[in-house]
Amino acid sequence: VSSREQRKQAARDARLAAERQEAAAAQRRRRLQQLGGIVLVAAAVVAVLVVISSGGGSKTTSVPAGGQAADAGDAPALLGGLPQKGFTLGSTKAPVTLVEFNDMQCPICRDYTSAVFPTLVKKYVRTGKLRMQMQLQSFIGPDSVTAGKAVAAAAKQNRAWTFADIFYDNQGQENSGYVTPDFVKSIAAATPGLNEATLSRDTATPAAAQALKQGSAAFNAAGFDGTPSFLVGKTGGPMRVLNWSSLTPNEFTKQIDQLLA
Amino acid sequence: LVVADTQRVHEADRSAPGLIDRRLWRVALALALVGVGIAGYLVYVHYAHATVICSISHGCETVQKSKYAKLGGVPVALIGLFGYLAILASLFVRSELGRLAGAGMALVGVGFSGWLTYLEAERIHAWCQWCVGSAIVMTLLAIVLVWRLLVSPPTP
Repeated sequence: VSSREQRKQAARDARLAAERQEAAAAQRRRRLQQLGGIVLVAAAVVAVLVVISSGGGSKTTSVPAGGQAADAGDAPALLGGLPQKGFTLGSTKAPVTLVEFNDMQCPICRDYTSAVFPTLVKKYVRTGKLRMQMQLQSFIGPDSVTAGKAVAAAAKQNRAWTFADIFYDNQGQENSGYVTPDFVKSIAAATPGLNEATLSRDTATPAAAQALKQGSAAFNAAGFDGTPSFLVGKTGGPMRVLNWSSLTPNEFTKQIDQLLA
Repeated sequence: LVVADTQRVHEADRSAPGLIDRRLWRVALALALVGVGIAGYLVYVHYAHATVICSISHGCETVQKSKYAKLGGVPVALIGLFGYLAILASLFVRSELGRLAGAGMALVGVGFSGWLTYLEAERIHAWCQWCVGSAIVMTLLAIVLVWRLLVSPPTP
């Protein structure tokens, strides 16, 4: 009797063990299916987020008042990590130099900055082939003077190009009086690495006004009559006028490539 | 019968899967709290217009002021903070659903953190140590929560 009961018990134990194994295997299968499901859902959610992120950050021309940051647009990404010294962008060892004569109120300068400048930065400045210099003009009106002095103050902190790029992203109507201290503060707040208080102080210095005078003298010496105008040449060598008829990167890259050849 | 059932539950808790589940839960709790700390700090910096503490020259500022710092107008740091808080909340939902939700959110977090890291490297050309730290924390959270999902004992 005892032996029969032992056999029965053993059979029961074996059946229970088999059931437990079967249950564990079923649970494993179910959880792997659940994991597959959440991986698919997560991938779909991430794809949507990436699409929003890629198209996000659309530029705006409305600038918040009160010293809040303006929309920095692509400028920090475009110019991040590139050397800036005073009004110069790019390596001092770059074989070719491009000088830009620009007025911060000039809408065509803004168009150049959005349509051509990024290509030149990515193709030549980031690869150490080109350095850029800025010669500020202020003939459009009083807002040009205020803006130009602010860029000169940003140049003192080696942030002129980033500041100017963000300024163009938020450029207002010519001579509408939009270049207020709050506007300048908002651009400064959006410029990485720029000290707003120092910029505000330096804007009022004679050095800032002198930068505009010097830019104007260089503009007249080159015989230009409008902005944007450009000089290009081998670094340290004679400079010539870079002629352009439309604001397409090709108009500029052709002439730079000739100098690099 | 009730006493017997309770004993069985306790036995299940003391089983190997139960022990692993509790350990993974603690690790996940710690990681989620670290994530809340990082994201909370970046949210504070954003809304207080404070200077972010960064050992990489202006890298954090450049990333935070780039156009990618917002998603549909909402600061990415704020989205991250809500994500970590939601994962934290899921840890206190002691059911299959809680574990699934936690793992799912962490996987979304890993994917999106990967995208943000790509942006830092390829488009922004600047590194934010807080963002990289958050990406690492989120990756570890996803590993822990997926592991927990697979090994935890069944819940009633």
